[in-house]
Amino acid sequence: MSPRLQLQLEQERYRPGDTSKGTILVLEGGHSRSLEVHLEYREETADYHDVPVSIAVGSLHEGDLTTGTSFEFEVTLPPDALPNYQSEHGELYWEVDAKSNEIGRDTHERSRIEVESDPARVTRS
Amino acid sequence: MSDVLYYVIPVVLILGYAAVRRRLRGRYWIFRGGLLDHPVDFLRRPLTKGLQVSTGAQEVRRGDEVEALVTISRSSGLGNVEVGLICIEYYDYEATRTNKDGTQSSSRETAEATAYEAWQPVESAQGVLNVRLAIPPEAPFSYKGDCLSFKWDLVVKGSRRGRLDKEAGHELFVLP
Repeated sequence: MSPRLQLQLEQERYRPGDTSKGTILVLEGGHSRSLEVHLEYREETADYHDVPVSIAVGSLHEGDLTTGTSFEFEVTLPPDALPNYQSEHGELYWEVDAKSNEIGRDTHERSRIEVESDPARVTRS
Repeated sequence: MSDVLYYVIPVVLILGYAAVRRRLRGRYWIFRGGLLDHPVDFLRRPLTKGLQVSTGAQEVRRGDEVEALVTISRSSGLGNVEVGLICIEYYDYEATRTNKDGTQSSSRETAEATAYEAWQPVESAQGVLNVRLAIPPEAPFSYKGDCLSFKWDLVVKGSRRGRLDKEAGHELFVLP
């Protein structure tokens, strides 16, 4: 059985260089090889998506997940992180992705975060 | 008869070109920009003589102003001159079509849409003009992605009724 996860973040709005802290709660335990967290900058249209930036937090846990356990993590946004932007035909946004690596389809619990531009730090990439 | 052909032949050529472009666009580089992808832009290029636009700053932040330097070296036939900022959004989509045998096939295509544009009229007299244009803080920033991109241009155009506009542009990098 796959585990059921809940992702809790201390805040939803950030600026480049900020650190995002959060907790993954295991609502229902299940088989897992590892529990990982990624902070991703995603681009998306109605039909396609891509992940140009992915920052790995590393493995928080190895092996099966037990109901009621929780795992804290923190991940820092790059100092030149681009902000979120939504247009008529697509979207650029940041997302925290908690992933239980499993045999077969992985379990994901995702949460978007709002990253605003920071004129003092942004440089051309 | 010859009058009919005068109209029919260009229409057939345009429809034929559109069909060939749709089929080959994903396969050959020549259809991804340039003459065959934007024939009107290609035809417009010789018409930019006498009209130029530039800016001192290649990069500008959202919320700031761009100082455009408009040079009109030949004002005859220019019509109404406007200088503006345009941001084009390029986005990928899945295009599906029905084949001759009734089956459906799909391909990845790129479409474009105007994400932002603002124009300011300027005097169409010979000379050099300084025009300040603002980039709204909520406008897109320059971005080149895999399935979504935003490209900014500073453009000056001379609108001519019933004829192809004169137009000159200068790419701008807009920081977040």
